Amino acid sequence: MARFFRFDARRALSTLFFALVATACRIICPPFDAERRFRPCGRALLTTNAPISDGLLDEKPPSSFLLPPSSFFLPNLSDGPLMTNIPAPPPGFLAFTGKSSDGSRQEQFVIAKDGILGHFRDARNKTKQMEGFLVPEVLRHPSAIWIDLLSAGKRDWMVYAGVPRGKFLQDPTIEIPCPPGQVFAVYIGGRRATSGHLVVDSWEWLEADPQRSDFPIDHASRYGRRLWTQH
Amino acid sequence: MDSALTEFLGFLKEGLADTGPFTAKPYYDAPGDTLFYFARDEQSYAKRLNPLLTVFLATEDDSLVGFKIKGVQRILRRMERMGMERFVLDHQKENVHLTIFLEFALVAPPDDPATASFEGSIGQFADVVVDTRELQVT
Repeated sequence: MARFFRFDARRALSTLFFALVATACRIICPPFDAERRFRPCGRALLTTNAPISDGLLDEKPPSSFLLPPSSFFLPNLSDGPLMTNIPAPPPGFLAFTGKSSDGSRQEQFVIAKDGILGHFRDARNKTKQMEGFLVPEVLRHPSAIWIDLLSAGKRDWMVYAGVPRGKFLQDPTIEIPCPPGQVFAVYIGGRRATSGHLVVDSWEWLEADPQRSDFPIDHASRYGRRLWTQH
Repeated sequence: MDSALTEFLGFLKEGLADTGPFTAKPYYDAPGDTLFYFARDEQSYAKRLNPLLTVFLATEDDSLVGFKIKGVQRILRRMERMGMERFVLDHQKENVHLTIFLEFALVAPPDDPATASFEGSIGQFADVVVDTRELQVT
């Protein structure tokens, strides 16, 4: 009996040792590729699974892909942070995940291929296309989220602002530091797509608030209510 | 990484693979009722001049890279009230010089008097033409 317990303890210690070594290896040498920044980073919002149980997502899309403004705040699409039954984006749209406006879970976003992204592509504006790589990152890890932009017709619009880990130069394999004193802002339209997705409208760099380097300048006078803040 | 994100990144990479020359042309974003214009393919940041006009300045040297005009439909309605024939180009009935939209947008005083100097720089875009058919809300 005593030998059995001794063997069991040794095996447990051995398992623990290898688990620690494996964890250390992953921390010291993470797999490198240009797209790793978009992988879930173990933050709380990316950790659980819950199915979408919202009837609105089962609707067949009408001719317009947008829902009326009143539907901006849909009931929670999931009970938990991670959406597993991701609805298909409307035709002509590209989808990706980000943080929900209250910061509690994952949210689905889409962007039109023939919207401003398509324009930058047609115009061969490589700088603005390159900035597109930062959009999913800032939507996943914003510094803060505001609603009700104080511009005409932008009520119910949201802005996700954040400082990406780096920006890309010339092509997505060359990453350089972000411009100092600037914050990346992604604007979300005030109407959801019929598929339930939030719709990315545009993005730009803004000067940072001198008092708070991860917030855009004049955020208090430009935007309405702050829905979520990282710190 | 989820397949949807892969598709998005693939779309971006596909666009970047096009090595053709940059073309400066206006773009009307109907959901935001905003007219964008980038004159150069250069790293820029947005600086608001007034409630209607935001300029994009080069990160490198603060020179003017482009701008966006908000409230385009309201400007169009004003133009229609005054008679669209005053604004369209003679030889192309649907086209309007971008500078007309800029002048309407500049009616509002600058938020910060220090940014007033950019109002003069915007004159360099006077010859850019906007096809008003592209400004119709669908």
